Amino acid sequence: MSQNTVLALFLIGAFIIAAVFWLVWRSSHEAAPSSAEPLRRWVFLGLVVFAGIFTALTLFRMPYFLYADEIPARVLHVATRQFAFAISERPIESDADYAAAFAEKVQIPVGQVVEFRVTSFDVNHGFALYAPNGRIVAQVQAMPGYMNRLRWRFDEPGEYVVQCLEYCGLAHARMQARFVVKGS
Amino acid sequence: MTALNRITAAWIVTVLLVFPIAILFGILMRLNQGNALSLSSLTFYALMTAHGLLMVGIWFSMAMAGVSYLLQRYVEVRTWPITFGYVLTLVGVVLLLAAIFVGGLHTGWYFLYPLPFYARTTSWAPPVFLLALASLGVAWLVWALGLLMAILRRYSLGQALAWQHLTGKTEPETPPFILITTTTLLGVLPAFVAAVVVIVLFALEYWGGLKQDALLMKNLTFIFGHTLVNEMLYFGIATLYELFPGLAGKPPYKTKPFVALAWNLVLVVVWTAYFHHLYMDFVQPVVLQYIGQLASWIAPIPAVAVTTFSVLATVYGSGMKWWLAPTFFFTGVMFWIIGGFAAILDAIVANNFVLHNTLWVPAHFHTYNLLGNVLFSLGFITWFVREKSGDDSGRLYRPVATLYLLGGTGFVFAFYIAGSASVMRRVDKYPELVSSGSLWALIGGLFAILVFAATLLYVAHAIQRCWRILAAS
Ligand code: HEM
Ligand SMILES: [Cu+2]
Ligand SMILES: [Cu+2]
Repeated sequence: MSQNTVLALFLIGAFIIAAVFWLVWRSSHEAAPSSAEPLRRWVFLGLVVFAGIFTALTLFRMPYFLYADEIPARVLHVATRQFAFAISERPIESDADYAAAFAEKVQIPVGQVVEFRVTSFDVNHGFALYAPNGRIVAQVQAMPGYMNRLRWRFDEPGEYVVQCLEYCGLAHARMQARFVVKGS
Repeated sequence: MTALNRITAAWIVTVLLVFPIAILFGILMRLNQGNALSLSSLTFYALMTAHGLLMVGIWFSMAMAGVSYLLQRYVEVRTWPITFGYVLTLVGVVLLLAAIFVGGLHTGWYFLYPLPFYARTTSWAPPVFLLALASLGVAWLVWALGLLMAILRRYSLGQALAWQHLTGKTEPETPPFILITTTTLLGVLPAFVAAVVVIVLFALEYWGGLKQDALLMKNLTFIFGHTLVNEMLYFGIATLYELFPGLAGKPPYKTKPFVALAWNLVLVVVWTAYFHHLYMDFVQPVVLQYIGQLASWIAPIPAVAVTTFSVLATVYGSGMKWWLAPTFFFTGVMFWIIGGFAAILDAIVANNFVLHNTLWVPAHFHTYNLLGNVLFSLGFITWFVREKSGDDSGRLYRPVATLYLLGGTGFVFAFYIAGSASVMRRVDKYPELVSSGSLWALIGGLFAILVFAATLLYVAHAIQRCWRILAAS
């Protein structure tokens, strides 16, 4: 779901909940004894159906398997350190690799699958991809001692911002990198 | 029972004194994010760390204090574990504040290994911080075990968990309050164990140079953080079950078979829901990610079908009299499920992919804390004050309820809207990338000032009354 869909769903849900509470609250101003107990099983059933539908729609759309059966057109290595992202087409294993990566100009072709191999050299950081419209399109954690693989296909050309999304210290807000996605 | 009155009143006074200060920290953060203030990054993150810890600390304590007081209706409650908890909690809080404001610690209320080793602080701050957390852990562990033992002196474990009701038997009867309190006390134990393990592993690296595994540490951190905050809400629900029917002029709730089933299910499901904090760690075994999403969605079903439905059915056509205490409980349930709905939307892995660590997260946890759990505790406090002093806080009803609920709603909605616009959490100044964040921060901060005003009105009133209880005994 896009962020807008989630927000819309939430607002509708919150409105319905608030409306039910408001109606019940209003009904309480006069005593009108009645039992709502028979309704309980329907409410329960409704919830189970609702949860079941949501689960069926979403459970198998996990980001871990994105483009799993394709061969990525490009592999990009990402190593993080307070407060920068080193991104390179070559593996980043040493301090020298890390420093050299900043001289590289990363360009990504539009419409092709790219694999990011993300790790951290110090603390946990977040690796979030912000599209030119300012919205997050994908993210993964950068964890020391581990390599997270994220596959993504950029369908919109333009300048993307990589923003740290895991609090990592005083300059966390300013931990960014940029790259361009080029049309063919 | 005056000893129990006294320690309960002491908890109320302490919690209500700290609450406005912690809110003020929150407002300062929001105004800084809205560019109305210019705090240094260190000040901002110190305030953030203190705000989170103080809020979780006082409201977890107050939820337990409410439950401890009400427990005397069914079992004999000894006050020493509560007093022990009180003293050690205070020690912990003082150490925390010293580590944060003197030592410069700024890791956030939960922190991921190995951040404390890399955050520039004074060298003594991290160990004092860990000591403070250990002190809170021991305080609450002893307190929780004390309550659990009090229950188990009267009920067998199976009875306390209402297993006899599962098969439809009605004798011997386990009141819902005992059932919920027992599942919550048992449920929170793994949080304390995980906290102790994390602290020990940190200490091993700090003093022994033994490197730890970041993924394991993150799992442990959230077994602690998630479970603690989740169970804190269930203490509030236990209080609600005990007090709400009486406030509505109805007979006490009974433990029906589905109630027993629901809470036994919750006990187990809660332990696996924490996996949703690690969705974006793709190296976590994928099966745990599936369990995380399923558990996050199963856990609220009984809560909604049982608690929310019962509360609505109690109020419907009741002709009840509304005053501050029932209003707090009733609106608390409403915001609890609104926040819960926002939370489970984020607990879908595919959604978390674009919402994780955005302001959507503080949006939903403030909804069910500020407007949920805190209201359950305030409901208890208001009821307690009336029990002890006869004062039903009538004059405060309209101003406090209106300002608090209006301010709270505006405050959390500013978080929701910014979160869905990809504005990140735990950021002192918003980068240009998400410039709309500052406007929403300013709006949220202004609404929060209304909550602050309501809180001051309420706190001045309740503290006076409770102080008299303390002075009289
Ligand atoms: C009107 C009252 C409140 C205000 C103005 C407020 C404000 C804030 C703000 C601005 C943040 C930082 C959000 C971010 O950018 O990441 C925050 C975080 C937090 N708040 Fe509140 N808050 C309030 C009430 C509460 C309550 C009642 C609780 C809990 C029971 C609470 C618990 C927390 C926690 C745990 C954090 C996370 C801290 C961290 O990330 O380390 N807050 N709050
Ligand atoms: Cu970072
Ligand atoms: Cu960061």
